[in-house]
Amino acid sequence: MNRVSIWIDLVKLLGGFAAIWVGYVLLWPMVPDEFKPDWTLDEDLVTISIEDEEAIGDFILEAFEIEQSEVLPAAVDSGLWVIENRLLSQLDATDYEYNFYIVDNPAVNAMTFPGGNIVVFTGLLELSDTPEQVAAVLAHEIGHAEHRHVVDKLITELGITFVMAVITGGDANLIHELTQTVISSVFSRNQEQEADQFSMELLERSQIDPRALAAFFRKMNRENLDYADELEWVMSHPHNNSRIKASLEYEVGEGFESKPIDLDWDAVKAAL
Amino acid sequence: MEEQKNPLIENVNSPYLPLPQPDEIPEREREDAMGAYLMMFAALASSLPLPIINLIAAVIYYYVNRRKSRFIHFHSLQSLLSQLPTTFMNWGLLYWFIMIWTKEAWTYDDYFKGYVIAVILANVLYIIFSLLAAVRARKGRMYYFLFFGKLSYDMVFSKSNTLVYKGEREAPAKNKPPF
Repeated sequence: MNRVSIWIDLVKLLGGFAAIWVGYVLLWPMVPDEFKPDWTLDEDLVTISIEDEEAIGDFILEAFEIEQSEVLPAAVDSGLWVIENRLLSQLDATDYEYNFYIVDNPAVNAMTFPGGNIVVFTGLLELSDTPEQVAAVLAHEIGHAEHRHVVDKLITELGITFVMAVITGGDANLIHELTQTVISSVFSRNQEQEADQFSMELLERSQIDPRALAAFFRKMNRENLDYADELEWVMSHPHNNSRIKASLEYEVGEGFESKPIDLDWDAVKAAL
Repeated sequence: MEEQKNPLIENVNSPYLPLPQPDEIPEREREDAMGAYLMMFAALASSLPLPIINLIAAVIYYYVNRRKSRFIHFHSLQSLLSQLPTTFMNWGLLYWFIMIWTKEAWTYDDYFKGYVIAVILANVLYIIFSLLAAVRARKGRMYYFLFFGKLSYDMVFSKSNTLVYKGEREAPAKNKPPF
């Protein structure tokens, strides 16, 4: 009889833990979002003003020697302009004045620099089958800027003191270090998901099928791009399959109607 | 006193031996019994990233000390047994976490989050109850965890336990009867 009570205790113990586990899995999804605590770190706790961010952006563009893509053919420039216009017209209440730059480089890459500066490599344009796919990538990069991921990344990696020193001093060595950080460090998976989500919402508002994002990821997978050999875009964007899934499962609102981007994409690519 | 109401103490028919009372337990034994809980904390803290050292230390402590007395045996066994599931749960968490980091199909889903909560709870309970037990052991008292307490009691104080303890070893008989 005494020994039986030992095993009854064991059942109680295991049952207790199982109940907590299963209870969480079953009940937690039922709790309305407004009652759930926000586990994410308060990103605005330490940050810098938009003006300061733009100043950093200018430093980096200078260090990179990036200027408006004067060397590229007008067809490419105006092609990109059509795409960015489509997106920016649906972007309400933004703090940034977006600038897009095309860099002549075969890598499949796009980067968000501080201050709403978005850099697209020609390799990415060449890989894309449709202008909608480019739009998806651009919207993703806009998402990084709108969520202030770049600033967060800089502050996390270098510290607020360092970032402020760059803004006030503009020392060449500091700028170099900062630029390296922007290029080489990666966004967290959470940040990538946020940017993806932002991208799909912006695409929907811009009357572009959000599945364009999945199409682009698929294209990258199909081309069998070696992740390690590519630059930041690919390195910091792991787990393409789950992101493809998220993009394909994105539910557009009722009455959504996609409107193709009016652009002869083959002509744009031919001009590259 | 609560202990005196325990029917097992004086009951000859009981399958269990009477429990030692606080005034019968020497200081040294109490300290060793307390050490069983406290030592495992130190080992747990030192091996946090890879929870294996704590288990090795716990097993060694157990085998070194268990023959000293039934009181020490009980407390170190309870400490060891209660540590096993906690450690296995921590291993599971580590494994799951590594899988999420390396394998695309594994994600931070609710199953994982629920498991994290269960593991945290297990560790917190383990720490709290070990501290309570350590204090009790130092006072020469028994302290029973849910399940592990009863199991340890059954293994140590059962009359079927054949382990020979130092204090209970009979002195070689010098005076012998004539026939």
